[in-house]
Amino acid sequence: MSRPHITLVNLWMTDPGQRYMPLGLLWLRASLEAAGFGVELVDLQFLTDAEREDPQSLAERLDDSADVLGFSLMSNALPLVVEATRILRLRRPERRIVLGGPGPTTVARALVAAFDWIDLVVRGEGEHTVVALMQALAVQDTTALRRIPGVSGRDADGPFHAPDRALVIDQDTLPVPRTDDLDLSAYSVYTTVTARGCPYKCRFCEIPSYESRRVRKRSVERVVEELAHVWHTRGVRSVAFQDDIFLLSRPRVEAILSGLERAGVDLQWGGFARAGRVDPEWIASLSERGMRSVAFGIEAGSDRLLAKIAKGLTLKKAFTGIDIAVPHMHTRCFFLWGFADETLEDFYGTVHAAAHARILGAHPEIGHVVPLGGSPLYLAWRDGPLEYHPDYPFARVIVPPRSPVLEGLVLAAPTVFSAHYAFPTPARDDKWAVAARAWPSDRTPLPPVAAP
Amino acid sequence: MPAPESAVTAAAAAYRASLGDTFEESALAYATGEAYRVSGQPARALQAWLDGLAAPTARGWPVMMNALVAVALELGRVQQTADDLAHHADRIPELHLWIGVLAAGAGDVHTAEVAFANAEASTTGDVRFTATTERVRMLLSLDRAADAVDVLGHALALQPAQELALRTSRAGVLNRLGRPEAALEDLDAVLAMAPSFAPAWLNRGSALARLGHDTDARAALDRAVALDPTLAGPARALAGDRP
Repeated sequence: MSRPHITLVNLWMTDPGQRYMPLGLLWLRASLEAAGFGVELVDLQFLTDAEREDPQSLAERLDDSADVLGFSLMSNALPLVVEATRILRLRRPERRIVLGGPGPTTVARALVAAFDWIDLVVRGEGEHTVVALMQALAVQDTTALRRIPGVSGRDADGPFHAPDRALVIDQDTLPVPRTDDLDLSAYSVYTTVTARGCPYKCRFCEIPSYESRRVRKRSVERVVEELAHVWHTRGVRSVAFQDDIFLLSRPRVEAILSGLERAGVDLQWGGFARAGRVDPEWIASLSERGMRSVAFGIEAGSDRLLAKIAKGLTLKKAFTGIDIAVPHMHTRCFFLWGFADETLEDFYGTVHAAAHARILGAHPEIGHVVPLGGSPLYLAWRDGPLEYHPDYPFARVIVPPRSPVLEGLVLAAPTVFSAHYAFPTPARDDKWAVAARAWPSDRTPLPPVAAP
Repeated sequence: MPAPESAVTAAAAAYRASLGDTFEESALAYATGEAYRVSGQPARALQAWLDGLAAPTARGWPVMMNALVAVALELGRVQQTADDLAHHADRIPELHLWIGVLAAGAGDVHTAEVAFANAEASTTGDVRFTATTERVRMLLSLDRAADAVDVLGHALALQPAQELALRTSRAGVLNRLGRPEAALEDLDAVLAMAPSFAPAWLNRGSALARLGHDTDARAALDRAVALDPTLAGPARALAGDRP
């Protein structure tokens, strides 16, 4: 392969022990390759705890990158990537540093203002943006960069923030990713997305801030074609649909399943659903057609708090859904605690709900809410500084940095690294003590503090 | 800010009000008891769970009963709790099992043996099998391996659906008693029925090692681990077994 034009690095560090296909970058690569750019894809999602604290090591790994180096990440990897890119800039000043993914997207303005070695941030859906960006860089038209929708960055005139790019409504217009060079056995499961966007408006979530609430779908034919291809050529027998809510439209799900059946593709599969939108007959039917797991976001155990976070769900609907699903499939339920509006009574409601879900046979997973940069809860936060807890014991995906350098970044730029902070919550000490007893497995032992 | 006690009580009331009467009461009681437990009120937790068992539709949910037994032991309320459970056991026969587990945990062997026997007589399926295995576990902890063999033999006659597991367990106990030839009789029978039953290969490896057939023992242990990689640890431990 001739020298690539861009190196794309996947740093979506998710659940410990799970390894997910780098879907976002596969889609970007497809568009870049269709536009004639050579792409090197580097998947670094599975860094060890020590490596996640070591920006020098990350920079050394990427020293031979292409002249444009792009990172896709969530909020948890942001301190690591910011520091690693500072080192990379020093090692090769002409190299262009580009960040993308949900982590940088929602804090793009603050990010480029605070760290002048980050040249560009691709906000939101990136396929068209990254191609336009590469085309501008290819002809060295750096003044064009600030006119590319969806780009934030910095040029000779200082930081800029171009308008948002219009969403890709017809997802079939995007080039389809290839997976021919991926060792699929290295990933926990084959994943795909049939539609982007979520129509709901949960206030703790940042997805609507860059995906809007408009769901944009791939055609059923394209989805079936993809899955039939990997079923026949790669031996894929199970798939996780990574749509924000896969069971959103019954006719569409039915059409996808019927298409797969007509193609002779017999998959086991799972996906996200709204607990209030399943019914017994449908779930039984889906179970017979290969559905093996479902995930529900329940979030809270009090109707008062569910209304406050605009979940669009009541406890009764939530548990009716759980009751329907459990006999047929592995049922995961996600809960959050630590909201600013969460009374101790609300919190004990969530303790109730998690226990209730468990006894019904579901698998509750409990996490602490974090102030995601684009979430309505964070954007509306006016009640004083967020809290930073260096020894915070309930970290799941976002872990307080142990490296003094990374911690220093987080402390110096709370608007960039808001997800590493917590909302002040009533009766915090009581809640922490109870959470430690209620959900001990949700405590992540923090690695030792790095030596200064 | 309300004290934890009143906050849990208020949360329980709000939770029930939200769910209405659709959901089984003992499951709700488990949730409330769990909230009391994690808020540092084990006595209230225990009472909530026992109250839940009074509901006409109550079930002896294993998740709840494990928690109930642990808290009763922690509080030293063994006899009173056993009496309360016995009060509901005609309606919820699996409670006999939990009376046995509770009594065994408290060292009351006689009560435990009676309770396990009651559970084996009054329940079916997994509960009955669990009663047998808990009874065997207790006997082994008391160094009464010969009695455990008798219990497993009796269970074999009454629980034919559990023959694989029961024979394999009995073989393990026979190994422990220094009777590997007898163990192999059980294991041969099991493996004739289910050649891929990994625990049987594990126990076979142990028996063969005790007989000094090291090569065959190693092969059996390797087979066990190949069939079930989670047995690697026990297999390593058994590899050095000698009489």
